[in-house]
Amino acid sequence: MKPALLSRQPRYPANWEAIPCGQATRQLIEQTLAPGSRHWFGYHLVKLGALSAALQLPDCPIQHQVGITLKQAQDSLVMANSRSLPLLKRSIDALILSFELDFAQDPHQILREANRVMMPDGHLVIIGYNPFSLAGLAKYLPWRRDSLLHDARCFSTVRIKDWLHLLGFEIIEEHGLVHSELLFERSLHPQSKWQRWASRYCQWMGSVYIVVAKKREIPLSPLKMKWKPKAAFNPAGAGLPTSRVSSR
Amino acid sequence: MAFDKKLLDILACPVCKGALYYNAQASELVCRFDRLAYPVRDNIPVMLENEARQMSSEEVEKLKGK
Repeated sequence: MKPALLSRQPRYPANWEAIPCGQATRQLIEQTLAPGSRHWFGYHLVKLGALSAALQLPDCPIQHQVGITLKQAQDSLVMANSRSLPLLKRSIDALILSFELDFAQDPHQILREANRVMMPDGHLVIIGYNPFSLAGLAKYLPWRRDSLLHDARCFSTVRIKDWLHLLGFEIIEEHGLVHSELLFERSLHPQSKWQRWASRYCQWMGSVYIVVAKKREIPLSPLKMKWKPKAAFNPAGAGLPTSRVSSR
Repeated sequence: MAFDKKLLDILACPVCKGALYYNAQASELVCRFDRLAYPVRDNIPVMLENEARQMSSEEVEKLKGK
């Protein structure tokens, strides 16, 4: 298994058009996330990265949605580096990482930062390329070297889930989308017979996966002690009954 | 579009992760601990360490009174 930390920075997509079948993939992701996003509650939702910032979630009840990107983008509200997030500890209720780990030099640091800024019971969405799919195999073909698919890290869902379990997240949803090799940029038809059949029976080999996790934390609740320390000496006078004095 | 004031509830210094002070006159977000002033350009806070302005200790002292 290759180490997660890279010595060089991979090429980073500036928008959805930069990745193969980008707009169709974005629409599919939005459709898939829409039912689950109705259950995300809180005050702040952060969309990390240029691709995440462009995702629209109108059904999500969280009103304040913030896009954080490194370079100025249309949907960006803050410019920052995802390796050192300018956010307070435990301040975010939902966080979306759309292909952010796939085009990152140090994905572990991004996840560490995500864990730091998220509230307990907050939702974390990770979207990435599946290595065990047609696109994951096509990445190794020697054609179309300019395609950003060749630079995608393609972490498997098993590895992502392992990292999330280590950080104390619980996986609540998992989806596989886009059953296409993506390298030759044929137009994607999500309603075609093949796509519908594959998304029903072969979800595990979808070229794009969505993992939704919930941050779990066991709260520390102080328990009352069953025993009490007994004082060795009682101060004289303080514990005497006062009824005898009042009767005289 | 004005600067989103709700961001002040969640924004922190990317270096020390501490709370920030919004200097509306200079349109900057100031980290007093690191003496860094992050600019707000076109109502978008630029929270990058290499884009921040290094502040002198006198400037920080002036802000402390506010």
